[in-house]
Amino acid sequence: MEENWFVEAVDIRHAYGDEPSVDGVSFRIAKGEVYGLLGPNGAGKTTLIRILNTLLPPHAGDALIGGRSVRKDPASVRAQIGVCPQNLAIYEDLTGVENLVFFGRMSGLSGSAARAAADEFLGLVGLSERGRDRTRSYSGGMKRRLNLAIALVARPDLVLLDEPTVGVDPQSRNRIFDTVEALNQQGMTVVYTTHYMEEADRLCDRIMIMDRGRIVGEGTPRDLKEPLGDPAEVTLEDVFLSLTGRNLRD
Amino acid sequence: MPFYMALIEIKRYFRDPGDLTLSLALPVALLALMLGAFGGDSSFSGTASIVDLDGTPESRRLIEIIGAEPGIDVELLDESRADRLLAGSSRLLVMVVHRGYGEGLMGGGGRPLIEFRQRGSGGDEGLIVASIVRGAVGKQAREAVALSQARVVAASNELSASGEEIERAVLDAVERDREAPIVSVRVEDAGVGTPTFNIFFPGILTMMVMFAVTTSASAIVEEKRDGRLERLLTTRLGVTGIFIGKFLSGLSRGFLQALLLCTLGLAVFRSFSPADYGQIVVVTLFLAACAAAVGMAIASVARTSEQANWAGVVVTMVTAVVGGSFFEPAGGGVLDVIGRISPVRYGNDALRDILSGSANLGGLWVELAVLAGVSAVLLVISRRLFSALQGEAV
Ligand SMILES: Nc1ncnc2c1ncn2[C@@H]1O[C@H](COP(=O)(O)OP(=O)(O)O)[C@@H](O)[C@H]1O
Ligand SMILES: [Mg+2]
Repeated sequence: MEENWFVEAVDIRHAYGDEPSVDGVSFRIAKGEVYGLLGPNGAGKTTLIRILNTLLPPHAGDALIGGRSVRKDPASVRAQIGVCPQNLAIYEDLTGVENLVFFGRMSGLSGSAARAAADEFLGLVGLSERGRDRTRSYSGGMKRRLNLAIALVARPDLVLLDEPTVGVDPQSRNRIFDTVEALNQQGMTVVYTTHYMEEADRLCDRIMIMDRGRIVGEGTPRDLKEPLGDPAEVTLEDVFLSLTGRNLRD
Repeated sequence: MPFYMALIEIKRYFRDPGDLTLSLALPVALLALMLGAFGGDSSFSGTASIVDLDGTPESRRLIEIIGAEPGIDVELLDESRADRLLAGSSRLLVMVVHRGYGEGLMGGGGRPLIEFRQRGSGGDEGLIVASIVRGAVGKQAREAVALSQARVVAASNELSASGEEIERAVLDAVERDREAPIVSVRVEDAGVGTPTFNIFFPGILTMMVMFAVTTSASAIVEEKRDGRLERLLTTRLGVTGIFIGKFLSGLSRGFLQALLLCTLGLAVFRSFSPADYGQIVVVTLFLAACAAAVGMAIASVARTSEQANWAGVVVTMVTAVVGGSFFEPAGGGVLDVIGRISPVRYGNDALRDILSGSANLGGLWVELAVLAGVSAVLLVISRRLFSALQGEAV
C-alpha cells in the first residue's frame, strides 16, 4: 500500500494573520480510500481543503496529489480533483443539467461527454426528474445533492468534499452517502470533511481528527475507539470529545 | 473553455428578465427619444389660414379641396382677425379669397381673386402652404373650364344628351380623377433628414457600449459573492480562463446592445447606408472590447459588487463626458486634449467620421488600433492585479 499513496501532505502550515489555522499537518491518503477530516468548528478543516485544492498556497510544507505539488504545479493538481465547497456553488438561473454540463466542460469534458455525464450524475443524486428546472426552485437538500454531483461529474481521481451534508434532511443525506460510496467503489479517492460523527463512522476507511490546526488523532474508526474500551460500544463521538475536550467552539 | 463560459453567461443574461428588458429597452427608449427630438414624421404638415370674402359654393369648394390635401389643416379667419394676426407675426401668410371668386370661375377672369398676404417670404411653412394652395386653385380652375366647355357643347344642341346629363358626366369624371388621379405623385420616404442625428447617434451608441464596463466589472465579484468563484478556480479553467471568459461575455453583452441600437438606427432613421452599418458595427466591436477590458480592470480591484457597480458607473460617465459623447469638444481645447485619454473618444471620432462620410474603416486604423491596444494592455494589467490583490482572498 505504501507505494500507492495518492495524497501526501508534509508539515503544512497556514495562518490568517498571526493565528495559525493549519499548524504543521502531515498525512497520507491511499488511492481509493475514503479519508475523513473531523474537527470542531474552526479546527482548520476548510483551510486544509483549500490548500489541497490549490486555492490557498501553504505558508510552509507541501502536498502532493497524484505526485503533483499544490505549490509548484497547481494546474496539474486541478486537472485531477473535483471540489464540493462548503457553501453552495451553483448557478441558480441555470437548470441542474446546465450546471452539470457547464462545470463538466470547465473540468475538461467534451460537450457530448459532459451531457452524458450530466444525465448519469443527475440520476445518481436522484435529481433526474428536476434536471430541466432552474435550480432556483430546488429545495436545500436538492441544491446540496447537485453541489455534490458537480464535484463528481468529470470523474476526478480525487474529490474534496467540505461538509457536503450540512443542513440537509435525512433522505438527502442518505442519498449523498450512497453516491459517495458508489463513486468510491469505482476507485475514486475521497476526502470527506464533516462534524457529524456517525457519518464519518459509516463512510470513512480512516479518519483524521483536527483541533486548533493540529492533528489530535488519526486511524481507522476501530483504531481510534480501542483505547476507550470495547469498539462495539464506544462511539466516535466519545473519541472526538475525549480528544478535543468539551469546551464550546464557535 | 472561456468561450463556452461566455456563451453560458449570455444564456444567463437572456434569462434574466429584468436585466434583459433594461438593457434592451434602453436602446429602444433612447431611439424613441431621438425620433421624438428629430421628428419621426417625415411628411410635411402645415396650416392654411384662409379668409373667405366670397362665400359662394365655389369658394367653399376651393377650401374643401385645400383641406383635402395631405398634411394641410385649414383655419378659417375673418379679415380683421387675420390682419391682426399678421401684424403680430403670429401668422406669416394668410390667403384671402376675394368677392367674385365664384363668379370669376364661371367666366370672366383676369382679376386677381386670390391674394396672399404675407410677412417676408411667408416663412418655410407659408411657402409650402402657398404652393399647395396654388395647386388647389389650379385644380378647381381646370374643373371649371371642363364644366363650362361641356355647357357650351350642350347649349349648341349637337348632342342628344341633355345638358344636365352632360354636366353630371363631367362632374363624375372630375370626382373620379380626384380619387384616382391620372397622374399621381408618390412620396418616397428616404429617412429623417437631420444632421443632428449624426452628432447624437455616436454618443448614444458609445454610451450603450460602455455599459459593458459595469457588466464585466461586477462579473467576478458576483461569482465570488455567490460562492462559485472558488469552484471555478479549482477547475481547469484557472484564473486566466475565468478572466478571458468574463471579458468575452462583457464584450458580447455590450456589443449585442449596441448592435440592437445600430439595427434600429438603420431601420428607423436610415441615416446611414448598410455599408456604413457594417463599419459602425466593427467600430462598436472594438469599443466593446475596450469597455469590457476596462470592466475587468475594475473587477480585479473591486472587493464588493457595490464597489464594482459604482466604479463602473463613474468610469462610464467620465469616459463618456470626456470622450465627447454628449458634445463634441472644440478642436485644440483643453477638453480635446484630455479627451484623448478616453477610449470613448476614439469610438466617437470613428463613428462620426463614418456617418459624415469622411472616412471608412481603412482610414480609421489609428482609432481601431488605439482601442485594441488599450484593451490588450488593460487585460494583461488587470490579470496581474487580480492575482496580486485577491490571490489569497478568493
Ligand atoms: N478568510 C479568513 N480570514 C481570517 N481567518 C479565517 C478565514 N477563514 C478561516 N479563518 C480562521 O481560521 C481558522 C480555521 O477555520 P476553518 O478552516 O474554516 O475551520 P473549519 O472548516 O474546521 O471550521 C478559524 O479560526 C477561522 O476563524
Ligand atoms: Mg469549514
